[in-house]
Amino acid sequence: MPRLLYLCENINFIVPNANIKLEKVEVMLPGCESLPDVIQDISPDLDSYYLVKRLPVVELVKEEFVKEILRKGHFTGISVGTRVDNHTVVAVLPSGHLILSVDKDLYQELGLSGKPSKYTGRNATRFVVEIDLFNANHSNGKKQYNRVLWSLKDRLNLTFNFIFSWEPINEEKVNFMQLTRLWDKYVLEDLSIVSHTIQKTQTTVVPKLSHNQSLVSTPGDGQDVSSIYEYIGTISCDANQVGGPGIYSSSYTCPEPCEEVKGITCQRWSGLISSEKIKQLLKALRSFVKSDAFVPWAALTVHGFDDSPVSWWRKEHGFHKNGCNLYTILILPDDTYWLYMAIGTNDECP
Amino acid sequence: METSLLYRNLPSEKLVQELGTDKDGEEYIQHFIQQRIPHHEARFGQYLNIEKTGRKKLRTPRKAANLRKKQVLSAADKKQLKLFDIPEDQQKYKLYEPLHHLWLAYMRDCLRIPPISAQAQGIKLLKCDLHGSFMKVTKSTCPTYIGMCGILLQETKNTFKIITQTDQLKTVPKANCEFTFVVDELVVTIHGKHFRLKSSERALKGKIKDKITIDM
Repeated sequence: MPRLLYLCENINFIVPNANIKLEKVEVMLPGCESLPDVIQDISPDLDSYYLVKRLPVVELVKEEFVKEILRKGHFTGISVGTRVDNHTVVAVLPSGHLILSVDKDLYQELGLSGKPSKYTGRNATRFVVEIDLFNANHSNGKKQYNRVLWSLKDRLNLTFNFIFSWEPINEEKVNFMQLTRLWDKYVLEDLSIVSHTIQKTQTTVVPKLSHNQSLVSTPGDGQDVSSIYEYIGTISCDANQVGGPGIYSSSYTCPEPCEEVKGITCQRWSGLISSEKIKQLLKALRSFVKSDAFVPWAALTVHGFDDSPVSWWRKEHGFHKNGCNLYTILILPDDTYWLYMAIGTNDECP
Repeated sequence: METSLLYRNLPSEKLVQELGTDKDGEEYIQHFIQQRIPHHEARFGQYLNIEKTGRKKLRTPRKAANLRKKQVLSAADKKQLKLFDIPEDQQKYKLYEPLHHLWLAYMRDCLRIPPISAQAQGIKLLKCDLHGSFMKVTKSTCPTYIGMCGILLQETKNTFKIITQTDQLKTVPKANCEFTFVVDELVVTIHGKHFRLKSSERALKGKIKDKITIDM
């Protein structure tokens, strides 16, 4: 039975970096009519990400690349146009792992050992190959390194269109000289992060959240956490909520208890966003909510790629009827957070 | 009548010279084997030993009733005797390169003269002997076997014994593997799943069923 699961946790500290591949980020601020400057300064659309066409996978494995690029910054990359249930998907994580999600025929020709996917039953039709690029054995002259190079290059020359983002640790500006030098044979395209704003200037009603609210959800009860999440969702989708009396269609009302605010801003950025940016946003939102009295809470929603081979904590992610892997952090002024996670059928509960 | 006129014992000294020993019966057989197969001397000698020993160490000799059946060495016997093993000093790739060239000539003979259709070639390939061919594992359910290549030295019912260029003797199971070898312009792929016959049997009655799957 396909199922969707919602988890809610009440926590007092920032969730550590969970290595999810980030496609969309949404920030919702009730009580603000426009995005505050604090957030605007660090907005993701100041960054850009890159597309490389027909990049051979072997380029991501070479020692030079690992030393000069992977170890010196946060490199996140994923192949484009490939579906995780049909094709081969390649992903590179900032922790130095190269993940290949391959189908049975390719796995039987490739020559690298991997594990069968958890979501395919007895006769495995998908396999996941994980290569640790930061391992000491992954260096020139060692057997493992030669084997990896041989199977990715000589055996089957796998090439993909790849999007990536790279943030070097020690430099202020992204210095692409090294990367363009290594990949001068391939076409590099600059892609910008798209942003979309929803603003409501009239007074709207939002749920009132308190840190001692019970998290045990009882369906039907207006106070439960899942209806709060649903309401936040309707705001972010810009759905027409209120029908008014006398109209046959039921009207959707804010779960009790609720309060009135002057306006809501909902800003969405889509593209490949690095997890470092999320950390910065979270920090900024946290201090903003504390400082501004008109803002009762803030919500940060992060969506992962549908076709990503990995999800939280490098666990396997699959696509059944949908590939949702997203989480929302509701930031309250007293330094507490609510974390909602939505997982699909072919996902492991983190 | 005096028997000495009819027959006489063979002159013992001459016998000893001819046979190289003056031992008799079982001792003679042991000596004979030792002469011919020097490095197996200890094992074979033990095999002939009639004393009953623990099953783990030695096989007990066959009972008289079974002697009427064809006396074939079982797999356990073969393993113990190490008759079919290739000793370490002979596990060198260079030694077998001439064998490979011989095999190529044999294959060309087989497949070219007279010129035959592709289907007939296929039938011939089924029956031909592959010892000395340069085989490569192209597909396998086990990723470590993929890419192994070398000259085929022994073919058993379920395995291929290949010597690689780094002088390593590898035993590759036929099941769940696909092998490829090349003869001039002809590239032949063998699906190991359907090839699990001893090479001698395959040559005699090598037949592949019609409905086969190439999925591993």
